[in-house]
Amino acid sequence: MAIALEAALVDQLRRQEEDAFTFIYERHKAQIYNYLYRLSGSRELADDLTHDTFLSAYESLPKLRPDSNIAPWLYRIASNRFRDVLRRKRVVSWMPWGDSPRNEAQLSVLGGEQSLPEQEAVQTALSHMKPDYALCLVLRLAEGFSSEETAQILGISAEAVRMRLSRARQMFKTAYAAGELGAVG
Amino acid sequence: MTCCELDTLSRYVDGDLPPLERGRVNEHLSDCGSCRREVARLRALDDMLRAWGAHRAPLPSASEQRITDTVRRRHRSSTARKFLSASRMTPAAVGSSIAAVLVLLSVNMHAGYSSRSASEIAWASQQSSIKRQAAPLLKARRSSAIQGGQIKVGTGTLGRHSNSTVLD
Ligand SMILES: [Zn+2]
Repeated sequence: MAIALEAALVDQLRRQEEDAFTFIYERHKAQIYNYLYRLSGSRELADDLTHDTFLSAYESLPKLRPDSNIAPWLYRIASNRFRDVLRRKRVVSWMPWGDSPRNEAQLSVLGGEQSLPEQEAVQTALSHMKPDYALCLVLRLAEGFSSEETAQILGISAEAVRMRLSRARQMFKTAYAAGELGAVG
Repeated sequence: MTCCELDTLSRYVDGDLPPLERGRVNEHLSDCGSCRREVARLRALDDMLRAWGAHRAPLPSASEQRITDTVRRRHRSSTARKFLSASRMTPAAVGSSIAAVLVLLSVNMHAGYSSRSASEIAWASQQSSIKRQAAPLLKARRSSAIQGGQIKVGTGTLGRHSNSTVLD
């Protein structure tokens, strides 16, 4: 039933029906915004990228494949928008948390729970990883996608995701431990 | 048996190992404390990232407004484009487009007091059935991302309510 439901929705989206688009926008806006916020570490950038993501999504509706799953499709667009930014080097340290001078200001707008040291440490560790590996870890674990969905989003095979994930866990572990040592020493 | 590769343990934690290999790893774990500790570390790492992913802030209303406005503008221009390109195609297409507009107009006039056309009502009922079916699925899937009761289908329409923010 879920598959039939999604297929009906995709069919409406392919015809650029505005109610269908409103529906997926409502369903995914918070996910996409927070995903981009997690990647960029900046509300401003997450704002712009969320805007660009939904605009690109709207414009590519007629090209949406009939068997598409909406969430991975939107995350793919969002990830590509983020990678465009990295490519243009607008983000110097790709998740500018740890040592950024804006760190304090960012934390103040985050509110209590996200300014927990652990949250910060996770973000800092990810920012020290190669983007492709960090994206894999964020999609698979923080966003909860399966290996197959993550593969679809990143445009690689599920086997490549599994390989990358294993490597990414090691990278993360090292970066996280280094952060802890830094904090202590 | 020698200790497991980190890649194998990573796949083990993901549930991605074929049954036979999974059985072998289980067997090894039952008498290797070092690999057991590695598995525990991997699981703790995953839990930490999942907890980190559970924090979600709402999209600021100014951003919502901007997105809504942009999409609304695009929708209007693409609808106009579609109509124009249809009329450029064949005289028959022009005829049927005009006929469709006339039908829509007459339905609108007919149902003037209700302010919703027959096609909109059909849409709304189709969409509310989608919404009903989707509700449990949506709740189950990443509950934190979906704010209950905020999904408006059929009633909230980009572009039709110019003085209210349909998408908040
Ligand atoms: Zn062992």
